[in-house]
Amino acid sequence: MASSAIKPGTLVTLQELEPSSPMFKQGASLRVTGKLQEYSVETAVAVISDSGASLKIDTRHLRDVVFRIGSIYQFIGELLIQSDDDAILQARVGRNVDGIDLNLYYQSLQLRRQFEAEFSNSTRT
Amino acid sequence: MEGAHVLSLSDLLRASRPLTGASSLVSVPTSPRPPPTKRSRVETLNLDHTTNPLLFSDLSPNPNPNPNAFLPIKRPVLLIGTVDLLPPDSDRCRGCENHCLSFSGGSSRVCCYVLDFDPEILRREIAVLAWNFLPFDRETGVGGGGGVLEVIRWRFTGPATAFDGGFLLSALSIGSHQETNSVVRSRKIGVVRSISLVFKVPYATQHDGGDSVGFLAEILSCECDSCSSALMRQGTDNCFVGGNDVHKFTKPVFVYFLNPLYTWRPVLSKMIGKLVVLSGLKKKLVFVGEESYTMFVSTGRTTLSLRGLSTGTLPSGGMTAKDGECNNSVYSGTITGIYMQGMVVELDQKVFLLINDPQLAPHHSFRSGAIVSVRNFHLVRPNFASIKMVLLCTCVKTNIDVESFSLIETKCHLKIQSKSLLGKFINSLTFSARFWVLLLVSSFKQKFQSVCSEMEILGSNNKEGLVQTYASRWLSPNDYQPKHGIFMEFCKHDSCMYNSESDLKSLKLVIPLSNLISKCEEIWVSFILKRQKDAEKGGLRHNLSHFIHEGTSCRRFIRRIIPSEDLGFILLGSIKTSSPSGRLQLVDATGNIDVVIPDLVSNVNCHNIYEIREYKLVLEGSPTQLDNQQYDFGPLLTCRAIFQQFSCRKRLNNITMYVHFNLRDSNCLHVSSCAPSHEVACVGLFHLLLVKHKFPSTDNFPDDPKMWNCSSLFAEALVLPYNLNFPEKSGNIQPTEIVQDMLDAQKFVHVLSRITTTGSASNLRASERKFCHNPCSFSFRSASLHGTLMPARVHRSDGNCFKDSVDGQHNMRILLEFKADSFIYYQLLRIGGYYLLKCSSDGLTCNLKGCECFACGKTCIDSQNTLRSVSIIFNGCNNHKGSREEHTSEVSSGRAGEPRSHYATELLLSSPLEHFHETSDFHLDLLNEEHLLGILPRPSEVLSVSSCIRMMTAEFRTTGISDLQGHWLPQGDLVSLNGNIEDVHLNDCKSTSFVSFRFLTGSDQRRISSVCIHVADDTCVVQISGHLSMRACPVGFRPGVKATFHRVLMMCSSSGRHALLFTPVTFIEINSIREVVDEQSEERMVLPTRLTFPTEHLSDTIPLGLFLQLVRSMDSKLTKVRCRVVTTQFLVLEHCGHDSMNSEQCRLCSIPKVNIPIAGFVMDDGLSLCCCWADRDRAGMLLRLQENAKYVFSDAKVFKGGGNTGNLQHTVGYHLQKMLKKHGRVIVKNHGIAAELSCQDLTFSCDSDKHFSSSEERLLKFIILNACQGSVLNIVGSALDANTLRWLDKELLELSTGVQSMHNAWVSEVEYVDPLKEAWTMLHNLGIK
Repeated sequence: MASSAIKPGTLVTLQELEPSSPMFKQGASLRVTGKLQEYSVETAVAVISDSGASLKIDTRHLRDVVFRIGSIYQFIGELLIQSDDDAILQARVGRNVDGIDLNLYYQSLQLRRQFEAEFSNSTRT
Repeated sequence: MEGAHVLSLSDLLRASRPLTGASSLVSVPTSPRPPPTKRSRVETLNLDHTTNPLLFSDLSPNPNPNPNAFLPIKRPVLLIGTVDLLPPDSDRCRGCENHCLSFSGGSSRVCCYVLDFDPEILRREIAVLAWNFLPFDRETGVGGGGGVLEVIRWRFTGPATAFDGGFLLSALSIGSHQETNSVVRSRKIGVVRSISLVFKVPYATQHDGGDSVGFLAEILSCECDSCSSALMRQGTDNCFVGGNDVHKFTKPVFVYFLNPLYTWRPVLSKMIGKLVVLSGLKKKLVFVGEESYTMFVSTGRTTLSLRGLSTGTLPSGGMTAKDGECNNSVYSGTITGIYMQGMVVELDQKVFLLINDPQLAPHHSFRSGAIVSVRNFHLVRPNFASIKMVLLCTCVKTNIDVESFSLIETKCHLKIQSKSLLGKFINSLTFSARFWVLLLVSSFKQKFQSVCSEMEILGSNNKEGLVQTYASRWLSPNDYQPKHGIFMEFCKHDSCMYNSESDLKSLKLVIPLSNLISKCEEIWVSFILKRQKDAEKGGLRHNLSHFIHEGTSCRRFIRRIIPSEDLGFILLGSIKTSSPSGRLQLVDATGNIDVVIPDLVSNVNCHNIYEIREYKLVLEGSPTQLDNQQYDFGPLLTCRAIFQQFSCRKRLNNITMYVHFNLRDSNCLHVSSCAPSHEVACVGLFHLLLVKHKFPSTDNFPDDPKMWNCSSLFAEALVLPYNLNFPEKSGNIQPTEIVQDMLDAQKFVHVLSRITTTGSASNLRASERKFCHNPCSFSFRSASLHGTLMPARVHRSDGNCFKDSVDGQHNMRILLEFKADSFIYYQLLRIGGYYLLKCSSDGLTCNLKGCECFACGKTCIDSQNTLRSVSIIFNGCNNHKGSREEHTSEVSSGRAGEPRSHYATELLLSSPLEHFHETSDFHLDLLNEEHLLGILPRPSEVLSVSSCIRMMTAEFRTTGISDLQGHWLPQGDLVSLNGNIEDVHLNDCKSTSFVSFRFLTGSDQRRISSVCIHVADDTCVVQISGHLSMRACPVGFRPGVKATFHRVLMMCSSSGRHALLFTPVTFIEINSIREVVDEQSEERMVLPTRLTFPTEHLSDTIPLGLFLQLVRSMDSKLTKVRCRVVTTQFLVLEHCGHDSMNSEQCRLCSIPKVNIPIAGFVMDDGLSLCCCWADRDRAGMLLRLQENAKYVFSDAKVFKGGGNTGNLQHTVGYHLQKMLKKHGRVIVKNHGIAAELSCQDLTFSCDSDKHFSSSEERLLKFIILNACQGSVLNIVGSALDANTLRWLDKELLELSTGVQSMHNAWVSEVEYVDPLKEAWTMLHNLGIK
């Protein structure tokens, strides 16, 4: 079944998406959040950034998303690693999340990861 | 003496430091005063330190290790000089005239105090052989320079002359010109009993208009004939003959030594108890105000002479006084502490000397370590604060003498009493009350030095301080003592009410919190040691090791609740919230302690000081083995500790302590000037919120700088689609004001709103009026106002504002973020409670979507933007009554069914939501009930344990097991659960074995532990497991509490077992706690049942195994075993009344009303025997009580499956029920040995007096045999966990029996095997494969 092939997008911060990161894998399903820095209508490639890190997003499959420079967007998609560790996220979901409290968001993210790790450990034993 | 260097006074003054010297450093003669000898050759040295550095060379090479000690001069030295009275016009510090003599040598003169005083010493040159010299502190100005010479040993420098009995002192010698020409008739012979201090009074008849300075002396004269005749012979000093036995010195006469004879006082004070002859007196009637006193007044011809006849009547050493009495009481002791500027002196570390006038003590020599004798004091034993103490209280007649000097220089503690209001206030009190106030002063200064200035605490000359305000509140009129003049108090001493000490039981100690914490530790240690001692003595520590798996340990826990009445002290402090956990704490400058306040209200101000008289101190922890010698807490709550401001530190880490009190029982003692007013701006637009959830405190991830600015406390609320509007111009709205009646009514600060408006829609624009269709009454404390409830249009929000569909309504869900200055509001927040949030917009309408209050789906709560709780009532009825429905009834039914006696010591930590209106800030009375009922969403349901289990099983049937494959997170529903926490323990993930409950004790509050919690109600227990942050654990989170767990994940694990799991958002609310004194005797031990799963599903999910596998499963994992009953090991059968048995359960289980509290069956799985213990329902099934009796009791038994009967009266159990009704309780024991257990060794016993007939015995045997002869069963069981073991061990010990040495297991479920069904299943499985 095709639907079963779609994996949930793992929550990551842009800073974590460095080549040495375990999440930096070809085809990894990710959910990223950042401020829109650039958007090319011709290529449909957007660049979002957060805390000094940036990521290219391929938005060609997205519909009804209005891109405004400076707004905060969240994307879910698969990571496509090109040559020289140049990565682009092939977005399948995107939305504007202006007003989001990013600090709180990252706090929730850490709590969730903590919970996942604990739960994973406890079920393994 | 030979070779001793003579020092001059100027040398000592130049040294300007405490020195001690002696003429002989080899040996000290035993005689206090060596016989006068010819003056030795003395070597006069030039002590100019530049040429002959004798003194200073001794000092400088060896710096004194103790700067407070007197520096000894290493060479023999002596002083030559003359002792005399202080000249009247000398430049003396105040107080010297009472005690000091003068020592002059050369051109210098210093104060002098002579230990071994001899009247002959005056005005003669002496050599001081042993001495201390204490220079006055120039900086402090005490004495204005100079110093005091303490003469320990001395001798005359000239030849010895026998005392001729002449005048010791004469007024002429000091140049008194007072009435030298008047006729002097009186002479008095007697024993000096007491003398007053030098005092000054305006002398009305004095020509120069100046004041009269003098002192009073009480002389006990003899009225015998010889004395009377002797007194008549004027001019003869040798008139007094005879021994002590012929004279009775009983008649008191008073002598007033007037200026300049007040300089005699230091000599007279040495004469107390001695026989003196005073001549040249004049008898006068002294008028003081309206009172007149007959006394002898000194004149210019007054002389004082001594008689060799010493009465020696006043004993010395030890206590020789009766309570309250003053005369002739003597106490000698060592000064061990001088506190409160000399007003309190500790002697021998056991009694306190309460000094009413600092001049009473010879303050130069009144140092710690000195031995003093106190004469004529009042002995008082205060009865407050449950601390035993003895007070020696001074009065005008008291005399304090130094008997031995101290070689420790303590700074001059004695301070002249100020004329502050507090000083006057203290002087107006009785002795006990005065002492209590002094304790208060010390304690307050220690506790509030960081909160208040010293002037705020002590007051000033014009303004009362905190201490006086507080003390005045609690002192009764009887605690005040009328003050009289010096003449009245001295001459009519007994009538001055010195003996009336009021009952001070209502007065309690106010202690620093650090002392409280140490006191808690002391109580805990003594309790544990007592337990240990009792256990060793009784030898009752039965060993549970045979039950417990290897590598596990028994969990033990104790909670003690100590009422304030047993403690005898009260608590004072500020109520604050700790950051970042948000816990409520009582704080003072010395420490803090967690507090629980069920009736916390929003106008608690962290700057105020609250007095808590009624409270409960809760101590809880694990009773670890303690060494008796290990903990010495010293004097924690003694007066000494309070005066010394003894600071304690926490020493025990394995106990938790907190204080429970109600705010209504507290008093706001001090309203800080920096406290923000609690004005309630009841004008404008308010949003109505329903709090859905409170998130536990997060740890903010200190390693991540991004998180540093984040708050740690959050809550989730629904914004209801209605706003409250109170229009500004629609009435005469007065600003609110604070009415603080803290002192008068002794109540908590009341905030009273004076709003006199009645809102209406008349002033609104037409476009707005259409919304105003819901009039409401809005009351705040005792006042009320009227406004309108207006609908707020809620549009579908974007991704930032979530929607929550409740009862078909779309309410906006927002996050409340609490800033550090508003943590108190987080504590106030109740899940399910309604709150008002002032809208920031100015208009009368507000569209929630566009409102700035909820931008980004979040609202920050800080000191400016606060929440006010509001209880919504409909026409005066609390809405919670109607809307809580099922869950409240279930929760309360649990309580209702529990015997109240078990909860005798139960403490309510949070008041039920039904009582929310009692603590809410506002009451909102909605008048149009019909329309508005639909506004309020239904509160989240809180499940009881039983209903939770029902829900879990229901979920099991409908949805089955969730497929978690590929998912990181467990799936399930978030539920709220309420129940009693029976056990909390760490769950070691590696071994899944239980370890002792020790978490919450470490200093690392961020630590996250994997815990397992057993939550129970009357009949069932569920386990909640998972990881809990320490900060998520509220105060009191231990066994023995009733708690509500919000947002626990009800999940279905991959093994098919339902489980309740903690999540990071799980919020735990403690509802009530109860005392857990001894887990072994815990009466509330819940029958260890387990989750009840439908058996048809168990066969699919629980693996089939053997008893050996079952008992080896360390984590109590459920295992299905196919087995049969061999016999019963132990059975307790009880008649079950209507009250304690749920008829619903009886009907469902198809068993009669037979209670089976303990049932042990020996089961055989074909490989091994196992003793299986079961609860009532399971035991009933194993005994097959539901079977038809006709088949059981007849030979033609046909058994099919369960053989159930629809009619209870036809069942086996019914017959058993009838038997138990007769006997009440029957116990069946099997006395067979483990290997050969059978039904032949059964014995029966019953509690009733009635005969247990053979037919009844046969019936029981039949029932048991029937159980044994039944077909093969499937049981689902687990190894005994520690909780079950404790319960079983306790029960069996009470019944004086033991456990067979075989495997033991707990039966969770019993399933009758249907062979036909099993065959079909097998065939089906084969077919699939």
